[in-house]
Amino acid sequence: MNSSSNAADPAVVSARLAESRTEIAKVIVGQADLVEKVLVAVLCEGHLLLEGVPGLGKTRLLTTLGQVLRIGFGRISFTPDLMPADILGTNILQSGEFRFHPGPVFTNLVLADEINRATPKTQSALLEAMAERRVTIARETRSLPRPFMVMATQNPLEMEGTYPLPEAQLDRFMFKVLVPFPPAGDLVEILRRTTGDFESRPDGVLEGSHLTGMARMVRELPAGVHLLRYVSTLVGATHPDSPDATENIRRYVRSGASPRGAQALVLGGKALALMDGRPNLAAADIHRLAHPALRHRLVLGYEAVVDGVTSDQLIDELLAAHPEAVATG
Amino acid sequence: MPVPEPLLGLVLSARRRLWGWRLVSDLTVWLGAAAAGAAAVWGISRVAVVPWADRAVIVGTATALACGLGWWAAHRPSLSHAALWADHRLGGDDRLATAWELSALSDPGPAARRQIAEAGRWAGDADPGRLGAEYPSLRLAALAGMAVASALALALSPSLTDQALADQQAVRLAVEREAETLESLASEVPEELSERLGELVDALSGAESLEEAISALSSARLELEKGLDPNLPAENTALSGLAGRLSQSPIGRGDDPASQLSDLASSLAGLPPSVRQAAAAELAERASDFAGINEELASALADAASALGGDGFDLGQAAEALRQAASTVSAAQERAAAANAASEAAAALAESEARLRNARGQGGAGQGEGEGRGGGSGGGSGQGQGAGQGQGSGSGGGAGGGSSASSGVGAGSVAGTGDSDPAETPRYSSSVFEPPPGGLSEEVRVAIEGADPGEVIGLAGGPSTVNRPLVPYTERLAEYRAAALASLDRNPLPSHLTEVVKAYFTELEP
Repeated sequence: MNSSSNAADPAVVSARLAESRTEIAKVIVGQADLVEKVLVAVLCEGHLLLEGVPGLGKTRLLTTLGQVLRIGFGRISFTPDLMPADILGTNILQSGEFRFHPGPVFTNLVLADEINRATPKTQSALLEAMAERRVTIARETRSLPRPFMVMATQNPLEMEGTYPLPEAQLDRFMFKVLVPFPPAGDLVEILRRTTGDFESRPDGVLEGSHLTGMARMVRELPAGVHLLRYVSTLVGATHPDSPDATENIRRYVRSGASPRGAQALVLGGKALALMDGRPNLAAADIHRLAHPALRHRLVLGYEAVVDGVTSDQLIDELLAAHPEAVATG
Repeated sequence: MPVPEPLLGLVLSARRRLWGWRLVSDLTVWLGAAAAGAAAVWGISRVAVVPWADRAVIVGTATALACGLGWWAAHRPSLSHAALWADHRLGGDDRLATAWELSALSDPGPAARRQIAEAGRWAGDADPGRLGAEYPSLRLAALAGMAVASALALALSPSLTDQALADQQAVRLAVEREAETLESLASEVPEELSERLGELVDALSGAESLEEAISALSSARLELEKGLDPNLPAENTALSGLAGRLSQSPIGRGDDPASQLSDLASSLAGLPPSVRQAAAAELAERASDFAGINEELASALADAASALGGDGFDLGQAAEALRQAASTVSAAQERAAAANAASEAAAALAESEARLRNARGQGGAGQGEGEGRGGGSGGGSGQGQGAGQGQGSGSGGGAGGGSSASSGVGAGSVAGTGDSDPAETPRYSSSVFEPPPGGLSEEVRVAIEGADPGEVIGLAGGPSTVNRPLVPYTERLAEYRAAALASLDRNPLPSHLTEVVKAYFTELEP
């Protein structure tokens, strides 16, 4: 698939992505919504944070993704003693001169497993890489290969010995996706696949060049001005001092979403439209991505914790208060 | 980039439909607001008198309709809005609205061109009939419906203001009726009095309240009464007696006392002494009737009697005395006629005033100023009864014919005492039927205790008259007697005839 063919026919892209989902489904049972969000992040070359209790297949999903995409894949298991150099790489004196040995971050898809177990110092080593897709070591800045994506996982239950990600780093994740417990039917299928003498291996169907072309198609996909204004209204309304904010947002939110949240909504929406074979962004795409794009960008106050209010509840209220885009002109 | 024809057609169709439905929504909003306002105004008018309530509601509703139409006309949906609405209605996933925006770009990129073309194809396949209706929101319709229902409920239920307006209208009609009555009366009285009544009619027509009308009537009545001679009833009775006596026993030719006196004066020369003496005796007796009432007339009659019957009869002197008496009688009659007209006008004003007080619903609380005047010979007493709390007083004198012209609130009724035969057995001691108003189509024979069975007492019409309420006989008799005596006051009769009338009612008493 070349770039011109991508631009010519979104239906081809949609079919290729559907093929990818089929390959992933050989390993991952159900979790269609989760897989969809992951692929959207891939199409947007965005970073993804998966949050769920242990054993739900977060790591398995991402390793399967690495196999299906046929791009460079690196896995880093974050532990408290992990150092930044273990991620970025380091200069080693070799034959009388320093030679740079790149770390595991120098790949296309980085699986940051249990990212909240590393110290803030190590976590922040990813900041520059995630934001600017380059790293600076010993005063030398090195570009990372494209596409470059960080897919991180974290466990919400075990708080001891963990270091919650700071807001600045959270904001760099395009989406934060919650991994739900599988329904009973899916669990039976999981048991059948994993407890018998059966191993399914996915085929690689997308290459790096494909992804680059698709990412360009996503950016070229038209988005109506009325939808851009709608996204602007939604994101603006997450701020407690906004006139469009709901009563509960004013009460519980300490800080609203950043412009990165708006970018994630628009870009992710375009990717969703492309996956569905549609030639433009729609309000429904924005609604589908509102939770993963905004939930980690709302900084809740102490009162929200006391009252048990979650970001998802506030986003539901936000969408109810602003259900539709308003026409321009 | 030009907009694809199917896309343009679909968007235009959507705008027409959307604009049409917005008319419904806008009118719902404005009419709901008007109904809420009407309900508020009518609600207030239930606890307070708001005379302008109905006018305000009509003007407010008309204004709301005009505003609704104006708002609707000034807010035609834009084409981009229509495109977005069509997207929502047809499930277009924003493709129409996005294509409409992109087509406005001077140089859209290939992806935009592809999107516009795809939207055009999609619009060509879309069915405009599926655009459907854009009903007003349920909440809005419910609020407007509740407002309209409240307004209707308040409009259909009686309110304090309705009652006040009805009372006001009734008062207005009552005042107009009284003004017409007085206008009619003004055409029948002397010119000076007619002018005064004309002014009063104008005052009534311009009166802005019942109190003002009553006050005008009261002032005019008091003014008229102030000008009345207290001796007028007695003089009327005496003049009536003079006329009646001379018509029974003429002393000359002519229909009235003045003519007979003049004729007697001109025919004295050939008159036998016996006739002259009889005329002198008659005049002397009549002169005594005017004693203390009209001294001038009494003196003139006495002088004439003296000149006719005196020892030293002088033809010229007697003729001159008779002419002088004729002239005095004529002047007295004219003066009495004018005074009677004023008295009648005062009585009419009193009746009008009483009716207006009744129209106000305060008839029972009115303070009447009844005053009865009786004239006649013998002892008599009068009693005026007003519709409110009027009290009349009368004085009777003369030949037993107590009469009263009561003025004040209500028509005074007078119970005079005179010559009667109280020993006669009363004929009626039971009750009589109250004849229903109108429709005296059927005679009903009612057995009355003390009367002949089957004697027709009254006429009643229509079915179910048998069980109509009875009116006490004494009450009805008192009314009839009062009316008869009042009539006697207005139409003077000779004293002996008034006695007949009075005896008739005395006989009827239980």
